[in-house]
Amino acid sequence: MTFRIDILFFLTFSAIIFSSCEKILDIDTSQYKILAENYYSTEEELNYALNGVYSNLADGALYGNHMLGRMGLEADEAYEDYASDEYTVGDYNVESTDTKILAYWQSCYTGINRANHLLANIDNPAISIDSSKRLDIKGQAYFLRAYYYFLLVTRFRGVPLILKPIQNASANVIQQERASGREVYAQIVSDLEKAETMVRPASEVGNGGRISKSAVWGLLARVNLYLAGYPYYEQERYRDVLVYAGRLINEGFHELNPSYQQIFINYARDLYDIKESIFEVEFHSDGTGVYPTAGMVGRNNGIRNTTIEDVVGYAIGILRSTDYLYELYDENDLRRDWNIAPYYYNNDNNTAVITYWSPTGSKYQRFCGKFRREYETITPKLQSQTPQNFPILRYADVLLMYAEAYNEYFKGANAEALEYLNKVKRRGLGLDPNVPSPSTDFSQTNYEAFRDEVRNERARELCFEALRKNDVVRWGVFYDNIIVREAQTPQTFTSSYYVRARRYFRSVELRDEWWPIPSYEMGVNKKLVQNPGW
Amino acid sequence: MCLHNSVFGQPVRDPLKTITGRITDSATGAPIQGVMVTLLREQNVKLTDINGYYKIDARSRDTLMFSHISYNTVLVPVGTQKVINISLQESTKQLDDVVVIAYGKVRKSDLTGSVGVVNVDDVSKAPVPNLADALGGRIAGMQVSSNDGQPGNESNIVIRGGNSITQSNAPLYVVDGFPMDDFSMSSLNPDDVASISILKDASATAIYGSRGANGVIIIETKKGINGKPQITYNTYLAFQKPTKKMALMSPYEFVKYQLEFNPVDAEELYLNRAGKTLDDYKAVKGIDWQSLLLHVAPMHNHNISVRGGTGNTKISFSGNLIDQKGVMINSGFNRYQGRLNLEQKINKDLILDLKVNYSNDRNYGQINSEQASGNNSYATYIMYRMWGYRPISTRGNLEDLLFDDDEEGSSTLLIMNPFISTKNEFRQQIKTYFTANIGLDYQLPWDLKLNIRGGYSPRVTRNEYFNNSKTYRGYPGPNNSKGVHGGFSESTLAYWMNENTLTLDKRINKYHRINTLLGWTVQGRSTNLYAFEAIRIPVEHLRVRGLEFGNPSDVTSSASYSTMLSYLGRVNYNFKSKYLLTASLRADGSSRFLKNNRWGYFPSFAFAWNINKEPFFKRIHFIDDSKLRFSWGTTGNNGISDFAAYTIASLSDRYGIGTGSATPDYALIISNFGNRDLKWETTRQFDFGFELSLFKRRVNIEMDYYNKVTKDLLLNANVPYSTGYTKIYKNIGSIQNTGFEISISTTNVQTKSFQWNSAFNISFNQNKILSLTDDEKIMFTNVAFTSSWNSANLYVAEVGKPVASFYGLIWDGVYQIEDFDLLANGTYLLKPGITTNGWERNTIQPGDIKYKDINGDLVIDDKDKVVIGRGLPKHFGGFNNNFSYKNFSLNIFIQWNYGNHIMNANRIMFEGNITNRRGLNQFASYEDRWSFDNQDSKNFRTRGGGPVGYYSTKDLEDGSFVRLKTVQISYTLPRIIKTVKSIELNVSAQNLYTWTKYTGIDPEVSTKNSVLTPGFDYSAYPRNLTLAFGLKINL
Repeated sequence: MTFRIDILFFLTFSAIIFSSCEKILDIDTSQYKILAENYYSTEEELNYALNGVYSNLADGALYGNHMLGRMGLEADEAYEDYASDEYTVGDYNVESTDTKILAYWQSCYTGINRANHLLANIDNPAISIDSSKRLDIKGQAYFLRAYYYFLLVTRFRGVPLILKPIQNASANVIQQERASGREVYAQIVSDLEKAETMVRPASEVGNGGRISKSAVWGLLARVNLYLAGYPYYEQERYRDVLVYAGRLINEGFHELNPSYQQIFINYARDLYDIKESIFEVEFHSDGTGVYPTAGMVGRNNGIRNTTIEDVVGYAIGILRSTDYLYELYDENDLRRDWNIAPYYYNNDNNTAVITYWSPTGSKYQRFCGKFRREYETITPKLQSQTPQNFPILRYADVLLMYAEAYNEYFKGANAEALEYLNKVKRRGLGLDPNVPSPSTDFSQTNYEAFRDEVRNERARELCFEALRKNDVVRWGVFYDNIIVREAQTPQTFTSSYYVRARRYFRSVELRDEWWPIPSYEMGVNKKLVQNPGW
Repeated sequence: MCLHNSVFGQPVRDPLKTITGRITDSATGAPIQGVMVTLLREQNVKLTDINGYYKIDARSRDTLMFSHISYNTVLVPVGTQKVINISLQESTKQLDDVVVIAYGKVRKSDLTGSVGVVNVDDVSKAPVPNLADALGGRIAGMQVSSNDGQPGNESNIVIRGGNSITQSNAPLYVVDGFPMDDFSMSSLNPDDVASISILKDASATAIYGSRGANGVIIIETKKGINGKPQITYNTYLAFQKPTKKMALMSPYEFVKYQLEFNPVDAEELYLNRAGKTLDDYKAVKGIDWQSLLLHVAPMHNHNISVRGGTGNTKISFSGNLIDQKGVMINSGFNRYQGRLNLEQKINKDLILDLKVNYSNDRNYGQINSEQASGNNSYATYIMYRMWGYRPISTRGNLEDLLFDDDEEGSSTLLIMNPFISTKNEFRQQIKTYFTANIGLDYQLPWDLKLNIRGGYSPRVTRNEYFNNSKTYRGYPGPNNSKGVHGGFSESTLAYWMNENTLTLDKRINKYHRINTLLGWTVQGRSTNLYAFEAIRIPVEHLRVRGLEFGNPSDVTSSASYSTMLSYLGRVNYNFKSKYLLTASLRADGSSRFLKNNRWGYFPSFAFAWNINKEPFFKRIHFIDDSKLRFSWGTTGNNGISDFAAYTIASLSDRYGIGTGSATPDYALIISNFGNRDLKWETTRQFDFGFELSLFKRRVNIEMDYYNKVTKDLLLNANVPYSTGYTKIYKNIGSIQNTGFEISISTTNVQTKSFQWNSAFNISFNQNKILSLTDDEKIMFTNVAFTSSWNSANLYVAEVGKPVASFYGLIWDGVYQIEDFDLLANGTYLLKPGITTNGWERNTIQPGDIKYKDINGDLVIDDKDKVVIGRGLPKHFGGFNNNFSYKNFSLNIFIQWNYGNHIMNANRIMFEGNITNRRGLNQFASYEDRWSFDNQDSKNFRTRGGGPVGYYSTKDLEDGSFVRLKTVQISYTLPRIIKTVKSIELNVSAQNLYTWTKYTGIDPEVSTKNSVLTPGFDYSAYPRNLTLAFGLKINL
């Protein structure tokens, strides 16, 4: 009889387990991880999510490292001298397997995905948030998505347009074909036009770290300017440039910083000047390397300094100039010796000693001096990280865009276009930008003369700001300029920087106007078609 | 005398007498019935009666043999004795005939599946701290390899080829009934192991359902035995040295090379400043960095065990201590371990067993195959610095200087003294394992047996590191933002489980026997990780104890949990032991899948036919056993991260908008996409086996052919980055493994005093990708080794081809003078029709490296890369021999691998100095290099290495080897002291000799090991040749 009771007990026990066991398989995952589906529910969470969309700009694949002199974005104004980047996109030995190109592609889409997640959740009425704040966040997300697509379309032309978070991982969802370049631009314009109505004016925002209406206008001007050039040639777009750049200028809020150098000293010192610097990438360092937000502005693209100390700060000095860029400047132009440093730092027993280049010596030796670590205030000055911000949109650029678009649209300049060009020029010469200087001001309104001047002025003003390749490509002169630069480069000298300069220019081919679609991406997305030439 | 005796006999002086005695079990003291007492001279046989008594007539010069199927045979010379009482020891041979399988044991002849049984005696002869290190080559179909010789390294065990491309291929371990899919063999004392079974085919593994796909290793530990306590003590003291050192350039050759490499500076440094001529360096001894960093290292091991039992209680207690110093200075491994196995009979139907294991092991020293810094990373690996560091001092004594200051910018480039930095390295990993496993066996009526088992097993891994200012990571160099820093992490992996099975073993009549098993189990697995780092620590000597003085830096925490619920059933039907059928079914529910895909069903079926039991077969008298086996079944895999079905976000990033230099704010990132459609991966396996025993079981042959197809592969799949994700877990892709295995064991010689047994096995496995992610046809993989090579695709996985093949350029020697036009100014210019090597045409010179131009475009680039080698061997196996002569025994074990390649990346750096490092020593093999005086050399000239970042056949080598893996000679002392049962002395050696064409340190290497990246060698920890002197005492 005892046996039976045991069995009975066992059977009852089993029955209980059987009926309740399945519950053991339901694990409350939210107790272990932040689930995306549960996030985006408070104002604070929306702000963190927005920060996430921004933070991708500071990724090492974009402005955090590679775009600072390591991807050939200086095109014909300078060249890369960095042993670690030999035979990569950095010296125009571009292959579709290039890891920096792949990382760039990936990083842009990572940012787009974060924006898509935020945009997909922001309209949830359950979130308790002031409606203007909600709109502001939404507008910034639209802007940033547009900006990531802009980074893509300027390098690859058409790319897959992904506007919502993916819902499943089936092939027909994750494999999307390339939209045309025009379609991508249309989406960018559409996103920016939405953002225009949502974000706050620059005067309210107060710093260049956050997107303001001015940033939207400026980017709309830039986007339309590019669409008006090669290879799209939508001439009517010049008028849109005038509209948006005009809106920004006529608002009257922005003005040029009287000192050209001060703009970049401000970046080094983490100071804002939204009147000049409309939108910039934020980097931060507290000297300990704790926060994952520090950058390499001034380290990659600074004046070479191999000394490890806290006075100047270590810099690889990747970017070296060309005779061409140097010769563009008038000798009174203060921008010349700021942008192209006349000295470098010699490591004398672990002290960085300013050592001047011979004034008659080759300009191919000189390093980019636009971003200088000696102005950083945060110590210790880490060797691999800097706190300097990097400009994406400056007021000077807007003035020059207006001037260029006017001249292109009306096939000749007017007084307004001349004035905008001259404001930039005067500041470069150390003059008051707003007071005419007949002896130095440019005065020709002839289409071609003005076009050439405004193009040269862009090089003088905006060199090393990762804009040059965009400019020469949209002007349709990328390859021609490179050929000239190659011919100008001394052919016989054997110093390593000459060897690198020659390799840089000699490696460029016509196809290098655009990057290839990364071969990895081609491998996992059969719907993609490669760019011509690869 | 002998001849005389045998011819004439001595009947008068040696009359027949009656010998009596009693035979008992040595362990229990119980009498043994049926022992054969044989008078060898006349082959007379008597049997012992029920009380163990016998009676036999013999002469004084006779020898009696006492034998029984379950006991070791004993020979006793009669001499003057009239009463001969013997206590027999239970033989292990009997155990061999019973095979431990899933949820039970079965007689080998009744086995329907493919199961390999490890000979624990043979394996235990290897002087290795981790049992897994001795398993390679022992069982057909089981490949065991370790990445390199680093002490504390875990072995990778793959059974019948890898099923998975991105996920783990490790088998499921079932230790005393406790299944664990992430088990560490190092927690196990080799001396505790009673049996190891390797379940290979689906019939054997399907009862483990979800986790059987990669094969199952069942380990049983030794239990207590009834009788007087048996105390054993085993120890060995061993000495280890590297199996090989690399031959490097002598000071003379080094200086000669430097003068070619950088004539101006080298002349100043080595000749002018040193006041020497090149020839003077022939007399310079130089610094042998290899001897400074590699030494003969001791290891000692102690095992003690007490096993006994009285009536209802059986107990086994054992402890182990091992201390292994590494052959590299400041590295090593040690372990403290204890186990208690207790079996308590509570009443005649109820038995309780308890198994508790505790182990604490620690490995320390820097990891050789890891880079110490991301910048110039190739130069931060320790073996690189050991081989490449300058062998001569020019100023001061190089041995005492942290940097080689005569080399420009050495502190920037971190050309750091390998000896000083290695001595200063502090990193250790301490693993603490605890397993408690309790079971109840309840004998119910109607031949039903209930088994309830519960267990809990946490494993805590603690990592500590401290980088002081004399180490690579801690020196305040250009890329070190952390200064002197250190950290700590603690991760816990814990399993709990409950298994309940009901078995019915019923013999219906003489012919039919049915054994059924029904059960259900629940299990959980949790992981926790907590870590922190402190940087800029102002105190060095306290090491990790001084973390509190630094700035807090990186804080990490993560946790995860998964559960499984399963129902299982199995039926074995046995007809006259002639026809055997097994069918099983398991249903598994896993928390890793969402509700609609949660359950997987894994059936199997097997049939075996003991042909020799057929009447027609019995006439072939030399065949003892002959069995055909056939099995088919499916197994599953849920080996993905616990929350792969959920989209996870994280706040690990920061961004400060308009905050200036204030602390930036949190930034949300989307870290992985949750695939809600994930479901079980299934492997369908078909196995056909044939077993044969010949000549009174002196020859045993077992052959198996199998075909495994894994579908719905749980692949951490490459997805288009345009999705915003890099990888997504998907059920996609399919892979096939087919293979053939042969095991042969023979008794070659069996005489009274001399025995020779052999065991041989060989395995052939071929894997093939049937499909990859969506339309992906080809998948490339790189290894992270150093910047310029990190993006070079070294491995390719292509549909229709093996999972990992080497991929690269085909090396074509060097450019010869006839490839060039001699220009008027005396320089050479490559002829127009000759392909460049990737360098610009006008820079290529005679003696530069040359590659084959596959696509014929006269330029070497990625398009000229092809498949250049195999990642996995064509076949592998082992050959074991046991000889015993009287009290001596000799074990020789040979292991081999055939047909795989190894990328010897060390040669990239040390056979030509392709990264053009000044003052970098080279392998002696580069003394022979191309020059105008040595145009026959295949090695490119000084500075002629071509572009960096290419892998080619130049450095790809045949990785085949035959290795004299284990040799042991042992001698059992004659029994002198009554209280001591036996004393054995032994000398054993591990990795004694290796026959290979591989020029690196050791061909058993894979420093970046994964399914996709086998056989890469860069800065591998040397493998040891171990010589051990051992002693075993049995009380």
